[in-house]
Amino acid sequence: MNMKIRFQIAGVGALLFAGSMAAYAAGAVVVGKDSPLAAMDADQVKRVFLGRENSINGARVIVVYQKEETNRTPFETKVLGKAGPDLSAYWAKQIFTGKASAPEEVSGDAGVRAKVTSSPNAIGYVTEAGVDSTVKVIFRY
Amino acid sequence: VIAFRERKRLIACIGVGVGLVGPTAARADVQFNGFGQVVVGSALGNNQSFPTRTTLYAYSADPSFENESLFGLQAQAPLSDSLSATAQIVASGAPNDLTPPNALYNCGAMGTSQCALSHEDFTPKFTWAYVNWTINDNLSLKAGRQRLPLYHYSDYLQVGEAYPWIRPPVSVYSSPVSNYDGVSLQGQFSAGNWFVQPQIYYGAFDGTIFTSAASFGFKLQNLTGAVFEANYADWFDFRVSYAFAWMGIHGPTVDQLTQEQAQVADAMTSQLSLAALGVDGILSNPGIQGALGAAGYTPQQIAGWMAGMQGFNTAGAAYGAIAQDSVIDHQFISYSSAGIEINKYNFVFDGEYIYQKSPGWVNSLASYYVSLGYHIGHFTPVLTYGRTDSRPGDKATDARLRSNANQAYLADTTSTAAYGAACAAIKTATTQTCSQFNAQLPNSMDNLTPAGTVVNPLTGQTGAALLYMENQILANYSNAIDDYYEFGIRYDVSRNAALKLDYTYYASPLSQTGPTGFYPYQGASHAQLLSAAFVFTF
Repeated sequence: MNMKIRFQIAGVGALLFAGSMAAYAAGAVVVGKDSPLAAMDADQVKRVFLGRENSINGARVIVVYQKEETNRTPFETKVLGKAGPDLSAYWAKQIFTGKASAPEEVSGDAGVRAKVTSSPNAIGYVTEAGVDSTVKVIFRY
Repeated sequence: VIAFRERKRLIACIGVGVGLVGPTAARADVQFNGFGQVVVGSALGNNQSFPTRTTLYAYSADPSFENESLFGLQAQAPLSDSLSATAQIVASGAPNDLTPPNALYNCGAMGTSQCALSHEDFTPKFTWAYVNWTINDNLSLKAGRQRLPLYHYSDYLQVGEAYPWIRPPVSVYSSPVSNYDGVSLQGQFSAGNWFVQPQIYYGAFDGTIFTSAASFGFKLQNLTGAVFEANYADWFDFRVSYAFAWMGIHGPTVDQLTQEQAQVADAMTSQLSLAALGVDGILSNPGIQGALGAAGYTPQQIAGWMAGMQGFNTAGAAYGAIAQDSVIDHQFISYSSAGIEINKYNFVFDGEYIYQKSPGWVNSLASYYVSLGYHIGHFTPVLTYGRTDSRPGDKATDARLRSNANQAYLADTTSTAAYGAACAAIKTATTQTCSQFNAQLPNSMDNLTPAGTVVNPLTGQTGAALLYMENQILANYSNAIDDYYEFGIRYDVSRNAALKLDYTYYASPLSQTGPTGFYPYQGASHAQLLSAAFVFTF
């Protein structure tokens, strides 16, 4: 009896573990083609997207998130280290304690490209397929 | 084009409406964010309300939706590149006043069945309203109304989306003060995997606060504090804080208490003792003594009554001393805390220890909680244990209050009995009442209306009510231990919404008794609360 329960719990654990290890689609952090922003490392990308680093080289950056789960989840999981409700809880804390402003959310890769090409200090992320000649890749995940 | 212009005007109206922005409103992008929660709770079992002493909630067996349900809306308007204005408005149904049968009584210890609670009725109130100046990437200055960051979750107590429980552990989060008006300087620095956020603030609080025991005016002046929070690689968080202020308590309950005690003290020492001495005079009258002797009363009995009535003086003096000790005005109070939070391998551990050093009869608190949760997909079950240890803020004041209350009670009882016995004897011997004799005296007993003559709601007895109330205060604000055992589960419905369930068992292992001869403190020794919540942000 005990053995069976333990086995079932282990089974659930393995299933969840497998779920979290699912391969996420690759993507890129991008800025406008002519943006002064240059290549970043993973830590800096994380700091910028979590609102902990608000300006680069004296210019205030505008962070752009995507609305769609399929595009945002890989980025949040691989780069930010917290996704979905966890990230919402993080932002709720930042926003409602006045520590940071809510990031802008746009629709799809096209929305991100439109934003970063029109604002030189905007920074967003797109899927691998969303990278084109209008944007500059500053980090890949 | 027209539609666009209309929209701009609407934004400007909203901006001005919340008092945020001036002429730049039309071009400013006002950002709106909101949060809310609907919480229903019921104190299970017998009619014990939950819990009795330390929290702001007062659940009874009847399910209540209004105690903790709330809606918040925040508007942030950029004024320039480095200036912004933020206002946060919260509408809640939280209890905000206590209407006991007699305003003097302390309802907390009796259970709220004795008292009527009134609620906020979801009237919107400003919880934050400040202007923020981003000095540089590392420093920002806020001026205006802000949340008082005494402890880890104080800043966002009402944002249920941001934590796993239905409410941050009540063993620590029971402070009735949540805001201050003033300035704060906040820093944020990154170094490697560390992210550090120091903060200093200065301001004041002046308002009415509500606790499960009473509602009264409360002041914190020259409130000064510092917070240091460090985060390592997003899984380890460490926070320490210290704040101090000069506190004052004023308002109906405490003022009334103090005034009534002073009045009774005055009545006892001057008028009442004179009235007693009036009876004293009657008893000294040779004719009356003769009548009493004829009725079978001995000279020893007469002398005994006369001696007994001297107790009115003792009681009066003790009441006066109690009145003095009840006053809290401009006295030092401090709040310290240390806490850690660990998020690793799907585990969430949270622990915090706080110490509130209070003046006079206000209780000092040494409280903590430890909490462990585990993420299983969308579910996060959480176990929490918390303890509040309340001690008298100032031991000498507390001891003096107890001693005086005891002395007043005993002297009052003895002298009232002696007065009653003497009057009964006089009536038997002379057919005249003390009132009839006293009516001829300038300070007759019947011309007095001692403020202390009120009905004890528990016993229905008149008299000694102030002592009863005093005892409640002493019992509430003295040695007590409150334990909270809690099991909760959070289910993330979506990115921005969650359902939560919580069961809390409350126990107070240290039983309370008042000074000898008083009504013993009958606080709940245990209570249970079952609650469910839906929380969201938008």
